[in-house]
Amino acid sequence: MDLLEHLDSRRHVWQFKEDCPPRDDIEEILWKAWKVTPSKQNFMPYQITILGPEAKEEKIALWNLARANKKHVNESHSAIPWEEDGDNDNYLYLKTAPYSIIFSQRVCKPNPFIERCIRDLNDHYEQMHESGLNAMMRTTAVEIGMFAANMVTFALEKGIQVNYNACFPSKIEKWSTLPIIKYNPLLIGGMGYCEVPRRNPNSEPELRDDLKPELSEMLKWI
Amino acid sequence: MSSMTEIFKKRRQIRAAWDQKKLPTKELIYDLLKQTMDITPSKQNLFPYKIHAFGPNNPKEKHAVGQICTLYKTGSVNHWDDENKDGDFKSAAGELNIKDWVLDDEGNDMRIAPWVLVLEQRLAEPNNFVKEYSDLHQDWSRFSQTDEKRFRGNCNTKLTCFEAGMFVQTLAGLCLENNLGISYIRSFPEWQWKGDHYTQDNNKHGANWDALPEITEGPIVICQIGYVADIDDYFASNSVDPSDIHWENKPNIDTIVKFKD
Repeated sequence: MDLLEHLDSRRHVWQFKEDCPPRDDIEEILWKAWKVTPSKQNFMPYQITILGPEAKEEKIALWNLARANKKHVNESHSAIPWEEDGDNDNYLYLKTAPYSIIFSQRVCKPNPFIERCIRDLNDHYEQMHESGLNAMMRTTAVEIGMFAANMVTFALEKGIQVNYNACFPSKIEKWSTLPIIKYNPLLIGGMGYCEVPRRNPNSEPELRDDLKPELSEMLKWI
Repeated sequence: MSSMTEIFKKRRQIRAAWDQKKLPTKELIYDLLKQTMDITPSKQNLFPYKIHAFGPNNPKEKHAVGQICTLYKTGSVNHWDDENKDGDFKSAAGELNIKDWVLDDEGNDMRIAPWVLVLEQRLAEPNNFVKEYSDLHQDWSRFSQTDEKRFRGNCNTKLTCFEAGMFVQTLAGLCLENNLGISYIRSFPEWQWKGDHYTQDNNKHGANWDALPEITEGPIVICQIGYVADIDDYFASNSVDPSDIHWENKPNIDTIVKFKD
């Protein structure tokens, strides 16, 4: 199977199966993604927290963070009076995923090469300082995107699907229910075997309408 | 080892080993981008970024990108700026001249990739789903990717960065499958949206994105693509040999991954 065919089998999952993928498989997926994902100056300035099958309370807390965010966004943006509880089929996977994923920023330590650059060239690296995390946010987000894409590639080899979602409070101050996260969260997700994919024969028609733009809309040849 | 691991393990950051004679065609690059788009996910399928493709016929623009990416007086790994000093530079290995390390047998500069892609943010067009949802809520600013007033804000920029990262990593796999090299750069002056205009710093040599008027929104990431010349890339980082002067090892996986059982 070539890469195109392989990645085309990715699905966004509404509900994961109760069968839990072996922990060894998850560790192997993460190891392979770590091995092949590049990083500026090899800092990898992010932390990946995996909530395992037993971390049920933490998963509910994560689901509630996504719901609270949706409730806030919809109620504060709507031009007509609007109240809701923040429920969304797209977040249900946060409760059913055997493994949930949280990417957040982290303060890094230098490798020997970087230590030499600091010593000999007086270089400064924002990744090493709490005060530099905001300045590093975009680079970190691009790199998390790379890691996340590689996780999908290697998970699919084992028949495991990976979901991602960026709907949650972005400030760490709002994450008091999950104190294991120390710095700003950037991306969340879940992993497991697919029970119900988002695009399925029972999907409501409007959910089939979020089609991609044509490539020509995004590409400019110079 | 799985075939997917084999594909991705081939990738190396190319700094001065781009083959200047064997060039990927525009058709090949377009095909790879099309395939990448077909299999890369995007929130609400809106793809809030745009790709500017500078090819073999755009040496001036590619040189400008090189100059923009020379962010620091010291630490520019490719020494793009050393043409101002007739190529001389200091290194851990002593006094060197750039021309001894980056020119092929015909005098072409192997630092210049045949294709340079600049991904920048864009205002996405709403698709039917977004139109219907917005109509239901009577709220046409609900989706930041399609809202003229909000798409340059921090939240959407962060989202664009994730998605661009996913896109280029998938593109990397397809390039590697076709025996092409791919490198990434994110050392350039950042754009900051101030509510009604962008600001950007000049780099230490006074260069900024104004040299490329095609770029009108915040740049996210740059990719270089081409065939890799069969030579030693002097400036390549080496993550294998701890005694190499360019050794930049990754943190251990246990440093970045934490399980909560």
